[in-house]
Amino acid sequence: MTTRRAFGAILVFVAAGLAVAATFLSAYSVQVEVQGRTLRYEATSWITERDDFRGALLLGPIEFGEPAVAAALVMALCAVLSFRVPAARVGSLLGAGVLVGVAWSAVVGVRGTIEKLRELDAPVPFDVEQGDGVTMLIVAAGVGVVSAVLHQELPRRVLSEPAADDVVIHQIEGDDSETPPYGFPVLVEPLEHREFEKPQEPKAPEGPSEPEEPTKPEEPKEPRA
Amino acid sequence: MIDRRKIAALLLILGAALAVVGSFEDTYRTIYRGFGPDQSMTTTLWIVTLDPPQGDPRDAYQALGWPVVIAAVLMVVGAVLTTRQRVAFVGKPVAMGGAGALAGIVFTYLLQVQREAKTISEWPVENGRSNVLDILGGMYVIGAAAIIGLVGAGLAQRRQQEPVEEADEEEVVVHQLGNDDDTPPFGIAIPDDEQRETP
Repeated sequence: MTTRRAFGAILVFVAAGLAVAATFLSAYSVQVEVQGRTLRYEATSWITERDDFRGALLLGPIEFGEPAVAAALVMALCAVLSFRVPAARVGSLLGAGVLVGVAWSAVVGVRGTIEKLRELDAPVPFDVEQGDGVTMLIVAAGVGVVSAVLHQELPRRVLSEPAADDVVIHQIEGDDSETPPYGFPVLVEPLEHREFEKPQEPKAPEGPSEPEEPTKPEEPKEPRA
Repeated sequence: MIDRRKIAALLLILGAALAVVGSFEDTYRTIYRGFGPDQSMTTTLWIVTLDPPQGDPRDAYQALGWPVVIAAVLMVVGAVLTTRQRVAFVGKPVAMGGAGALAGIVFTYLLQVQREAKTISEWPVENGRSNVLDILGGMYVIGAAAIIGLVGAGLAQRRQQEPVEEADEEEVVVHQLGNDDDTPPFGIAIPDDEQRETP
């Protein structure tokens, strides 16, 4: 269990690292060949890296840098904290969820760009490619979800552990006439006979003690006489 | 404890409902004043409507309708599962993941719209007028949905340690005394042998 969670925590770091790295890779590229020349647009999630169209296509970066880095920070911080504060494990789930949302948004952004360029009705088709950055972000989101699930604690173990430490109470269902656990059935009649006989035997030696009582009152009488 | 669980589930469902409703509301409108008459484009998370109209409304560039709906569905499923004791341990991660995904989508969308506002303000215009990007109601609705969803998911997590106590309250309560010398609970203090003999 501990190894599973430790493995989960390490994977959370891996996912966070991948997410941050993804923001610095090419998010998408647009390429077109006009009169034998190749014009290319390329952008990371932060800036436009190369724009041979000089802004004519009105393209811009897909803004997933900040959310991805924020998610990675939450995940990394929670993975560190969770070694001390178990409740912090929730953060890896939050970060993984955010990463999934961001990755999906990035894919939608690339699709939107393809759509936008199609509407221009250009004589030469634009070749829009999803970059390594978006692909890596999807991988980071996938790793993030898996690691976050591994990182969690299954509740069955939580419930069973305190039960072993505490007092265990067996509650018997059914009516009261049942034999209690670990007990033998009580045989009522034969035992009663023996118990009546046994006390009678010790009563016989008690007999001599009775005569002693009358002697006791005589003793104080002697000093009076 | 039951109240808090219900509050968390209600917040999650409220957030999910707001997100779906907000996705159909207008989130922003851009007005281009570059060439010829003004043209405005009103965007939801699904479609763009042009004014003056040019044919059918087309898909939005940031067509985040489906991702938002799926995140909302996850949140609702998580909220429902957290109210059942048996499957609460599945519900909590699902709720947190769904709320996180919605927050990620909304955060990215917000930044993307900001980027677009910056881009269109740099476009060439006539007469010294400028292109405008107005944020509309839908944006605030999905923003609120994301925050409410996160709060709900956070509240749903917090009672993780409480079910153990809750189960104890309903079942047999066992008091364990730390010391054998103590007076048992509800009992009368038994005087020591010396005290009994002195009178």
